[in-house]
Amino acid sequence: MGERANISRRDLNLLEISAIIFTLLWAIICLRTIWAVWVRDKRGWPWAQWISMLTALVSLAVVFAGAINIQKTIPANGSIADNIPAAIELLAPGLAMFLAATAVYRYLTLSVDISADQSVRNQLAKSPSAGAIIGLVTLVVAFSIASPLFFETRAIASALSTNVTNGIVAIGITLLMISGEFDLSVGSIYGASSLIFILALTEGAFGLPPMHAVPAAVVALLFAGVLGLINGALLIRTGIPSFIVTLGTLLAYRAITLVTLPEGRIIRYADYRLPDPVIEVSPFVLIALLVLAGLILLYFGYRQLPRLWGDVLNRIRNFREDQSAFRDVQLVARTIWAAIFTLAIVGLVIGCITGSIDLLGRGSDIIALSFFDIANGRIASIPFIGPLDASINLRTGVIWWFVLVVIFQFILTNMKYGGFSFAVGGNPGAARAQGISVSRVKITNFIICAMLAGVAGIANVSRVGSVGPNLGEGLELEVIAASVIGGTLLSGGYGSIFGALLGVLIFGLLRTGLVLVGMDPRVFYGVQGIIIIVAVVINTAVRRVRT
Amino acid sequence: MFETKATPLVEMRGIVKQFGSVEALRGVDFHVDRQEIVGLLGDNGAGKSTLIKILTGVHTPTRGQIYFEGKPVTIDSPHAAREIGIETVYQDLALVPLMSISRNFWLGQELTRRFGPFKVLDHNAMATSTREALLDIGIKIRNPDEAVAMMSGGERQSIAIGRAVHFGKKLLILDEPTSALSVKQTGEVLNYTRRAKERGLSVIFITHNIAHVHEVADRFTIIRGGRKIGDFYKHEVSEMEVAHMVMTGEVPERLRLGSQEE
Repeated sequence: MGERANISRRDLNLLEISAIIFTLLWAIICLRTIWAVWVRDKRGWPWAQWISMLTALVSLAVVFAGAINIQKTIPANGSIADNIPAAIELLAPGLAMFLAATAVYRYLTLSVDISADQSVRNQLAKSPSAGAIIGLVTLVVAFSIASPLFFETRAIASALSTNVTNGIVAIGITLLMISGEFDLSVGSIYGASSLIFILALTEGAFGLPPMHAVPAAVVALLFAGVLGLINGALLIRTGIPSFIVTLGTLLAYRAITLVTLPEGRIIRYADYRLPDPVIEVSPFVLIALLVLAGLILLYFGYRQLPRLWGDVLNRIRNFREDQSAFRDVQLVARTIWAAIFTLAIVGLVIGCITGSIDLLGRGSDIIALSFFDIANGRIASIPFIGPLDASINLRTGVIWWFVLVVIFQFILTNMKYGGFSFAVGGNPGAARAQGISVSRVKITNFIICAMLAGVAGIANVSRVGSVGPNLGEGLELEVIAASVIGGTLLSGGYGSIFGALLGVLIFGLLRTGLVLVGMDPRVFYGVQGIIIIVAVVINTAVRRVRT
Repeated sequence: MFETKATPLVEMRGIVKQFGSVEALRGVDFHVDRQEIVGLLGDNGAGKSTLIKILTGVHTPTRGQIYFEGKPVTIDSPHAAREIGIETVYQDLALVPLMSISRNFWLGQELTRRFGPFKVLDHNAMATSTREALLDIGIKIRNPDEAVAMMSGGERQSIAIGRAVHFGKKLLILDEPTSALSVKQTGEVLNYTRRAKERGLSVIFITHNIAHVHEVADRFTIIRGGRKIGDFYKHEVSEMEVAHMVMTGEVPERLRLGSQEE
């Protein structure tokens, strides 16, 4: 805590910078809204409604944090009467804020005429992941107040790293749920493909001799793909609901690990006294890859940056004529966004250049990289995130996870196949009438989902180095829950991969937070259950606006 | 008089369809001329939907031949029907409720831009062209990015009709389009049907209720018990007579002669 108090500390990390930007923007919006309400500008009302709702949520988080602190700060031996003032002191600010904000929100909803399109409910309904964003912010605020250890690179990094596997599986499940099916067997597929991967590395799988990590990963992925294909084909051939089909395969695929690893045996890579599988690359290949990445980034910047800054300039030029609501706040927000975007691209391009120069300096010696490190090893240090000491356990798997989220979110919203998935889940008849092959889309999504479970299995083996017979049990429900929290409909046709990422983060941070706050981690299941139910209730209420 | 007329757009001759031992259609002749709205009438189970499913490739006929623009064709799949320009608008199956209007409009044939080796959807182009195309036949939409679920039943039907017009289809089949709609919305859909005809499309309007179609149809084809009762131009018959024929299958004396001449 001592070093926290040292305000002149130089090493602001990415986490704190983003929190500061976020807070600043929030302050600007609040002040602007107060101004608008003061001069009776009608366009201020929807914003006031938003702000009051978010304030109510955040103050709930403050109350929650206060309740946790009561347990810590109040000595156990005093009588109840002695402790009441202290308890009030801890709870009152949050409660007062909550009551005030709720009153304002109720007043605005009931008495002020806000056009239906502008109301919070309708705006929320526009994005599947809006609820998850609000939930995540509330959670982070609550735990940051409750424990000084929470909003730290270390805690966040560990929460991210432990949820890589869940996160990757959640991508596939969400895609599949959007196309109207779901897969309970992902946990078993995850376990089975982990097993195949580690066997292929050590003893040899399917009668093949032990092999290098890359072909072993390919074998494990193909195996997962076949399991997914079986799921999909069974579903299409029999027409039985996917719940039943995959409940069956959940048990059937579990037999693969149970039979191969009798009596609870656990395969450990370390037991075989094998060296880490090494990928040897010429530095020139790495340089070529870096240059390629830099060029792609530059092209991306060339396409996007002029548009972003052009928009900002246009807004400045036409500021007087601009009729849209809150033109000033929009201008500030867009400028910040464009600046962040520019900085990110410039930073990454500089990283590519310095990386290439660094590699050039090493000469032409072959570089040996451990496959496990590439797949899910520790990130020793990355610039901008701050000085990572060895105790910070951020894994390379997190990068792959985020990359996969971006790729699949892009496919979903910007490519034909994504649209087909939505259509197949939303109204199979209409999709068929427009010439989309419903069964092909569903089977493909089953295969993608299973292969992502395989990717997660490889990431897990790379990190833990062992596979037990029960690996992945219960994963399916946790992942489906994360998807649902992220706004994906169980009935299909609606959802987002980004939302699934947020759902996994909510659960991951919740688990970390409860531990840091000093609560019994077993409470986690109870809290998780409540969150799921609340999320589904909110989602359904919001969705009713749409349909 | 009939010789001078151009070949019909679609002609179905002697269509027989058996499901096992059940004969759903017992030799039906049916045709649609260019830019003509035909009301296909019949009670439930009369065989009208079987006839249409043969035309749209869902069923294949046991016997009989289909001609499209004078040439004999085999339509063995819904895809084949779409290929030659037949678009069907089903009552509930036309649109995906949770997708936006423009995504629905372009579903299955999305506009894309090349982005290196990838084809990326061109959302802006799809939104603008959707708005223009729908405005073209008189449908005003607030926002092409709005979900279809926010729209009324009549608006949904009209978007499906607008889509068929825009994609240059030749024959539009509307399957009971108005049976679930209010009077006002029915009027709108009929309006857009007329617009579709003005744009050069032929329309088959399937219904069991003459009141739904009398206003726009040029001709009625009545089916009963797997047989065609007859073709009647609108000026030849009254609404009452059509309703009577749909129910009983009895053709009034004065019309019987006319249909024999044909």
